[in-house]
Amino acid sequence: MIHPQYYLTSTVRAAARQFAKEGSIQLRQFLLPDAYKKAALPLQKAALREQYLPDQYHCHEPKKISAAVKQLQRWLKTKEAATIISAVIQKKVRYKESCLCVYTHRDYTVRHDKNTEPPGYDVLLDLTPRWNNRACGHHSYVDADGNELVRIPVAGNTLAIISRPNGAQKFVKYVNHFAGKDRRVVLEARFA
Amino acid sequence: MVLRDFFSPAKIRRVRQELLRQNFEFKESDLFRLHQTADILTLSNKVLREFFDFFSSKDFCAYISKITKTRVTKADMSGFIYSSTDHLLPHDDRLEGRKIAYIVNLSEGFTKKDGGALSFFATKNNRPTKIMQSFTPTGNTFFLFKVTSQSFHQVDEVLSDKKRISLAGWFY
Repeated sequence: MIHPQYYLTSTVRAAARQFAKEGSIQLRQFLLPDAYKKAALPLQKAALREQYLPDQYHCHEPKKISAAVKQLQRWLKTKEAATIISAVIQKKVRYKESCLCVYTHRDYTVRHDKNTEPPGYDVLLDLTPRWNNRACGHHSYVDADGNELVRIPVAGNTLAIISRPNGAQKFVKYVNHFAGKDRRVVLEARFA
Repeated sequence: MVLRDFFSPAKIRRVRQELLRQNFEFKESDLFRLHQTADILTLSNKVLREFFDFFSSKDFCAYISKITKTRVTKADMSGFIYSSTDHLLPHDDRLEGRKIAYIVNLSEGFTKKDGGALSFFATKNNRPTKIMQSFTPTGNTFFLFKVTSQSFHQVDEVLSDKKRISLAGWFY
């Protein structure tokens, strides 16, 4: 399921160097093409359930989760996932929680007092096969004053690992009409 | 409170014309994407300063106090342009001293499909639940609403190439 290059010590060491420098990294072509397509493509047509708290978020979740996506969710909880992520971060971390989020036109999340997250590491497995970057929908990490620390652009089949220091929060920028009918799909996990 | 055709058409045309000559700074956060001028108080443009001075005058504040049944004594004001994809997500405007929020809409030619509506939310336990009422941008329309824990509103995304133009701020 995982591309064999991410089992190579040389690849993981290079990723760890970049993570140490930037505080985030996007591992491209993370899944094998077939595993990625099997998980990502059906989600573009899946029936969705709306999640709406106007001053906090507007997003969706699939009504049914396919076997291929369940396999990815299970993988995030494995020792193998923790080993790869810990090797990149250069610190032993453990899986805490995850959710599968779908963002369509008019969806967003905003920072909110009721939604603060503890410091840790976010892991975003992007399952978006097609996206117009003018549509926004990217993840943005900001410090306590709202200054952007890092922006994670939408890129299908990437595994992003982001360090979230004390006080830093994330949001998903409002998805505008350039998205058309495309959906941004992300398996969002937290490690600490 | 929606006051349509509130200002003299000739005056408001001139204000719009002068406003569009100002520098608008692009601003973006989790909550918004828009273009905004500096506080009108700091601008040297005579027409805009006169308009602001009128807004902030003792007489006009007394009038606003009377129609809103809320005592206000001063105002601030900035210019805004919402272009395609610009938006302002749900929020309640609450900040110390703000009593009445206002918007003088200066947009032209908007229809529902252009977006940019000012939308107000129904609330439950001081939390917004769903959109209760929306107003398509219309020129020379003066919106006023009390800033409370229930004053949740948003500016819907502008969906076309039209510009949603306004002067807005708060009475204190």
